[in-house]
Amino acid sequence: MPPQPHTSRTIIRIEDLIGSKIITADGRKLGHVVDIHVTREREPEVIALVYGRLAWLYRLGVLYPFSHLLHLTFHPYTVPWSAVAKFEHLTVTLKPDFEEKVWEEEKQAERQREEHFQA
Amino acid sequence: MQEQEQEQVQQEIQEEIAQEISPRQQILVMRNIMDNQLETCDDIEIGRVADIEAELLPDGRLVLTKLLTGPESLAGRVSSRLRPIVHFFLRHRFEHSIPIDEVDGFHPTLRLRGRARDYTIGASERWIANHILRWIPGSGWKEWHERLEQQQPGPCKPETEAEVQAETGNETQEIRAPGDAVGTNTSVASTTAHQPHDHTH
Repeated sequence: MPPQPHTSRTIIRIEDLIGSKIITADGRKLGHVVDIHVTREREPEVIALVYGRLAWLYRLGVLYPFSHLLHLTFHPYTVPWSAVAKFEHLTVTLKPDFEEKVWEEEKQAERQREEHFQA
Repeated sequence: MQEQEQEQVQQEIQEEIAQEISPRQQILVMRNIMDNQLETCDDIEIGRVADIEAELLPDGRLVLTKLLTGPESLAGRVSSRLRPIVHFFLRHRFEHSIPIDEVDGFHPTLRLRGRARDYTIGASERWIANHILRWIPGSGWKEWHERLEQQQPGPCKPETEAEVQAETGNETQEIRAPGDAVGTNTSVASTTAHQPHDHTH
């Protein structure tokens, strides 16, 4: 007998997601979700989770003013939603093929491109 | 004169840059939505966003679907364990939700497409105004109530040019109808009028 298609809707409260633990596929803890990036569309979509200590300043909206004041460049750590394997029991588990360093390097390159474009 | 021209040029450049950034690339964070004031198109503040409901689609995307208000949602923000306890006492009586596509824009306030009377969120405040504040001399209840009664359900203004034309076209036909004394301020409900939803959980 063929398996029945999964038709039930999975509803998530965003405030449950915020504060959840982020762990990698091998069980290493990255941190807790502090903020979420959402697209500004008619159907807003979660694209990234923000975590780490700097994320608290980012959530309060003071990270970039502080970094500008100190003439330094700070960015919070993020994880793309496409790298999330599952969200269960207030824990976000990432996919095995997700590599933080590669992702952060990609983000860094993207920021540099944006800065270059703005300049 | 030159300064004004320069300002104009700068404004045009900024507008072009803003147009180039697609909605997909414009990012919102939680402070743009959560706890923000919900304001209807008739400039009435009806509540604040307590929580957001999202749906995990089969293709793995997480899409925001509803804005939630009410004490149970707020209690869930303190601790998710508090939610069933508060639910035991309140039984969803004060919980309301608004579909996210009702939001017209994510400005400092979340502007909704419908009028205040289309949503159940401000119902408790309206009840207080209608049953308690109306007896207080000088409360301005009568004017407020008359203004509210005169409002037609539906969006405040048509969204697209086609809707504008449809609305003005209907209005012209109504005014030209023979035999009836029609006032100049006749308002005709658009055929594409916003259907009021029951947003209660």
